Amino acid sequence: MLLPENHYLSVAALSSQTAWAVVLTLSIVWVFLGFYWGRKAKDSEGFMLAGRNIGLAFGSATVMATWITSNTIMLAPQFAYEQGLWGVLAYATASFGLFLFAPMAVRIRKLLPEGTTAGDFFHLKFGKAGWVLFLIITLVYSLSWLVTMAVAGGELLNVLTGIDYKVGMSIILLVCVLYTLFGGLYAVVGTDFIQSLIILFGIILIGALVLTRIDIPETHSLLAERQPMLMQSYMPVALLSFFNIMLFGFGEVFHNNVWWSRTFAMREGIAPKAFTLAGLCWFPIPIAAGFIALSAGPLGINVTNTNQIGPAVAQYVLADAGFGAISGILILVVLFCSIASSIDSLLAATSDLLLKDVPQHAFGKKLTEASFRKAASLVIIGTGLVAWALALPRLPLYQILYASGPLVASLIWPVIGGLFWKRLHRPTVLLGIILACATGLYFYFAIGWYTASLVGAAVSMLMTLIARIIPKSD
Amino acid sequence: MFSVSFLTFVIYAALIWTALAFLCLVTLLIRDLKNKSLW
Repeated sequence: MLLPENHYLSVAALSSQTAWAVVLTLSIVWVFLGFYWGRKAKDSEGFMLAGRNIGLAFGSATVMATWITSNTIMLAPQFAYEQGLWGVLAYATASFGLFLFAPMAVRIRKLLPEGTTAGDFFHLKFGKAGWVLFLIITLVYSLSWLVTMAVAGGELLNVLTGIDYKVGMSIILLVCVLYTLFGGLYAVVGTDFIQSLIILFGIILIGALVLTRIDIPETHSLLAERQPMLMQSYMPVALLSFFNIMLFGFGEVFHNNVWWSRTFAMREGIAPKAFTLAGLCWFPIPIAAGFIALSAGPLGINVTNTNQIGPAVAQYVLADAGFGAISGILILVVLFCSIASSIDSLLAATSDLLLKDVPQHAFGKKLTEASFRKAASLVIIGTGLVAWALALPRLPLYQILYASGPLVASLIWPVIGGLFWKRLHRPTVLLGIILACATGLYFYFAIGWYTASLVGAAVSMLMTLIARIIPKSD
Repeated sequence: MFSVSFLTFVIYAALIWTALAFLCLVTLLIRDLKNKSLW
């Protein structure tokens, strides 16, 4: 799940030698695995869709790991600290998109048995105009997600290790580009599995240690006394954000090629189980990662910047438990994994769209097998370069990412309608997407982020329902 | 206001659930490795 990434940490840094050793070791391992697993990709289908044969273990893990970003680890504690229990519960609703995508995966495989990208669906159901609208929205969203991940990675490495922002950001992007380049979806899925286990282990360890050091009744009474709003069960804005985040999540998952490519890549019958399981595995993570921030007060941790509260509490607790320097290494590894597991997926899915959709749907041509790997290399490197160029000046693309909420929410109902209804008046659906984007963005700026996706989804829903009634135009 | 019991329940449930997620993925890995159905 993704929300703005603007983290500035002040937790104690590792020594320079340790930091470089950890970063280089992780980098070499991922790139080596990318090269090793990439040998399995014999053709374009192997490279883009891992031979359409991914099983349940790798399928569930890749979906879960991709949805765990540095946001999940960093922002969840911030949400808890600033918005209380409702904050992390709201964040957890981002998993609902994965649950609801499960039945859609069944339909996707039926409708597009030889499909490769989400663009194939939009072109099939809504024609070239619909495909162009989809491509604009998804590229804005995907690129801003990719860049904010790269920025977060650079900033995290800088604060945790002292490595210069530009160097750290470049390393993370380069590593992800390399193993995606060598291994395609095989590398992405395989590394996602390892990264998911590391992330889960880290969250469990840190959460369990925090529990041994705090008294929950005491924490509750301290919060009730000093910050009662954090424990309020009735907060209208919190309820709005609860549903807004849920709808933002629906829009992100339903439309984006990251999830569609995984659906096509899994073995027959696996995708619905994998998405359901991934949703179940992801659901507790924002809560388990986030609640530690509530213990900052009882533990007497001085919070100078709420962006840093997660790692600050984690490092304090680990150091207190005798983990010493290992605490910094563990936090670095967990965060590195959460960032890499999303960057690689975005690189692969975005390059698939550019490699396959643009030639086919824009120019009516297909890449030959002979030219595919060279084209794939150019596109992946090109996408990485664009992301690097945008991340270098630390542009606040998280604002664009946040504002993309209503854009992706506008695609929820066209996707549902297109998958499950035979008859839809195409121009009305397309008009609905445009109106939904416009009104959602208006509400985003005029009222607040916690209304934008709600409005975008509502307008799009209304227009899609109208499109259902109007006779279909051929 | 959320009660102490509810807060305690949410925290413990989230951690136990996360641990179960870890075990589930490991179990699935072993199963898929045995059946040679990883990918």
